[in-house]
Amino acid sequence: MTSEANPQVYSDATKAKGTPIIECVGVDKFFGDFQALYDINLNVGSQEVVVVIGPSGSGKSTLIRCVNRLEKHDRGTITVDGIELTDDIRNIQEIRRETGMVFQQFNLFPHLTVIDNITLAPRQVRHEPKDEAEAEAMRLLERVGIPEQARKYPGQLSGGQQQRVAIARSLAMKPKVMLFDEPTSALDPEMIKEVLDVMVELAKGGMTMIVVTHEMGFARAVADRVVFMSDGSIVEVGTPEHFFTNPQEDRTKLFLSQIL
Amino acid sequence: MTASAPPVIRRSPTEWVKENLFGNWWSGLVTVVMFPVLVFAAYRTALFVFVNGQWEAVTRNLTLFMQGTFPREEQWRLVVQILLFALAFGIGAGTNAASTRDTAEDAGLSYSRGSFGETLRRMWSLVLFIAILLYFATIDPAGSIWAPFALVAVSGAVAYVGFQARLFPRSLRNLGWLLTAILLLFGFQIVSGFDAGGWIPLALLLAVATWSVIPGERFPSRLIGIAVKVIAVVVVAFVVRLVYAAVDTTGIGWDQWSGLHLTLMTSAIAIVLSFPLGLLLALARRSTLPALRWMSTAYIEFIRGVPLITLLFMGQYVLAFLFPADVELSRITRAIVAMALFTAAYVAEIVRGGLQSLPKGQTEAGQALGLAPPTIMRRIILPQALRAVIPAMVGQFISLFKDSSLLTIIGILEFLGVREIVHAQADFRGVAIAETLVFVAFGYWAFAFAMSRESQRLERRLRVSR
Repeated sequence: MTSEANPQVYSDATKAKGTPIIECVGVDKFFGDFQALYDINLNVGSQEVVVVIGPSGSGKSTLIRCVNRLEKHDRGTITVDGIELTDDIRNIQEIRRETGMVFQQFNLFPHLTVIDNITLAPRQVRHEPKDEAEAEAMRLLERVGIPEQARKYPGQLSGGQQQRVAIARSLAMKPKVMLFDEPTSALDPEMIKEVLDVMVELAKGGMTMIVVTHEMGFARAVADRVVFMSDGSIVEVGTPEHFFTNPQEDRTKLFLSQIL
Repeated sequence: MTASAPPVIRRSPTEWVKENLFGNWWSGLVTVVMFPVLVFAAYRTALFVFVNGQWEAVTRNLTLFMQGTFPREEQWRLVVQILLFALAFGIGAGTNAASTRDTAEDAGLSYSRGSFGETLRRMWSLVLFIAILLYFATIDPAGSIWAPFALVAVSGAVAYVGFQARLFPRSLRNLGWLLTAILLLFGFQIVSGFDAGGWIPLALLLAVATWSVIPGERFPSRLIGIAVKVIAVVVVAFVVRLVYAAVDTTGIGWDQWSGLHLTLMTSAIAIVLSFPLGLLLALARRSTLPALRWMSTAYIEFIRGVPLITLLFMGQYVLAFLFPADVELSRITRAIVAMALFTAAYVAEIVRGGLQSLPKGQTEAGQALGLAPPTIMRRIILPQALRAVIPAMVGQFISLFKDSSLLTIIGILEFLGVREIVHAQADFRGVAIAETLVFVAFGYWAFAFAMSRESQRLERRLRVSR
């Protein structure tokens, strides 16, 4: 179901957010013989927050991993900020520099200190001088609330702190879009809030975000649109009010009844 | 909440024995049976070492075991080498202690303050070996008694002075490492001579140092930064070459080395060569380019299927066919090449294991940040993969060190091979064979054990950042 298919639900919000920064048209993705994504059509506007929900195995993660080419889509086109994803490695790297990604398992570099984790990409990719990169890293650590951990190693931090470092690491590349792949799923319950708070701040600051999550509270409070996926297809798209109070599709109703 | 130490359980020796040696009936039985066996073994060993052993075969040939047939009138070169190596060891250990302390302090972890004595204790097998050498030197009536003691004392003092590199400010940490490398190189070249291509290693070392010291990103454009770096590196290499041309002394080529000296040098060189080669092979085997992958796989599987001794013989007889006729490789060069090629295949497999042990998320995180694949390999994957395989790799190097004794079979008189000269002497023909063997075995063990201890320590230290 494309975004054009139910304009009555969300088009006003999208259009108000300006030009689309991510455009997926007719995206299919296969793992061997298994089709993981069916004809995905999704536009994300600049400064928009899109939350993707759905049962596990529905292709949510695969979708956002296609956006920065951690997975290669097999059919259709994906365009990020005017650059279409092709096999050209330069294209891919350009898109990856504009999209930050936060993983479920944090994926911090355990052999580097927190500050080195954050400054690695700015120094290697943009060739920033060390002191400038570190000053920026400290600002980012202030922003995620853990400047005092700068010289520690990831293994010394709690899960919530690690995920906040991972967010700071992505922000260091000044991305235009942030992709969140179940950022709180590997966290103990008491740490989820500290990470969500950072994400809420980020959204308020005008960051374009696609968030795959099971945190319905976050979706309700922050999302401009909620996308519900099932079995590799987008089943329903809508504003949070519409989505949680008046879902149209049976599949969506069933899912919501199971989790709420 | 107040912090409290965990409870300490104190046991008297009797309680310990009761608990651990006679805890239940079968443990008691094992103790009762094994105790006499151990006592008997210790008794026979002591009898051999202190009473029956005819150690003259060793004591009268100590110099032979150490330096073999190395020209006696050039012995000063070995003395200077030992002193330079002692200084390098001191500076290296001091720098290492300091950088361990830096890491721990930054991360807010506790650390034990590295001391010189602690470093020596870690190498107790080598200290014991040197003590035995000194003791043997006092028995030998022909040699000078004070010279060995003086050498050990001065070396120790030099190493201790070098260890003070731990007091260097943090910004000079890399200078400590550079000094260590340069001193090791000079220590080698004081024996081998500074002629021919001798300038190349130092030029490479200083080139790398120059490249990393110049802050390329400070220049107006990246291209200018790189240009400045390249020019500086070329100038440095050129100066090194000029200096070497001015010094140009002929040394003692390694075809004249032998004894323990040769064993240590060949092993060290083969280890240093095999590591980068093995690393490249491992990367090639994981390459996306099929040609590279097949060649690397074929090489690794060929080498792993052939015994080292065969390769050593091939090095002597086959390697000559692979080079132009006018290239003359010495026997020792060919042996070192064979050992390095052999070990590289095993290092490659060990490194490949390390690469495979890393979770996929590490590469993905690097990709997501827009890092180029070579950068991901160099900055993210390799540092972790190599740390993970330190024990296995050092094990392979220890193996190489011990296997260098096979050079005896192709007629090179290294540490083990010196025995042939000793037992060709009129006094020791067919006599004291066990004694020389035990001595040589002990020598190998002292070095191999020290290497193993060092790798354990390295492993522990790097665990801080995991």
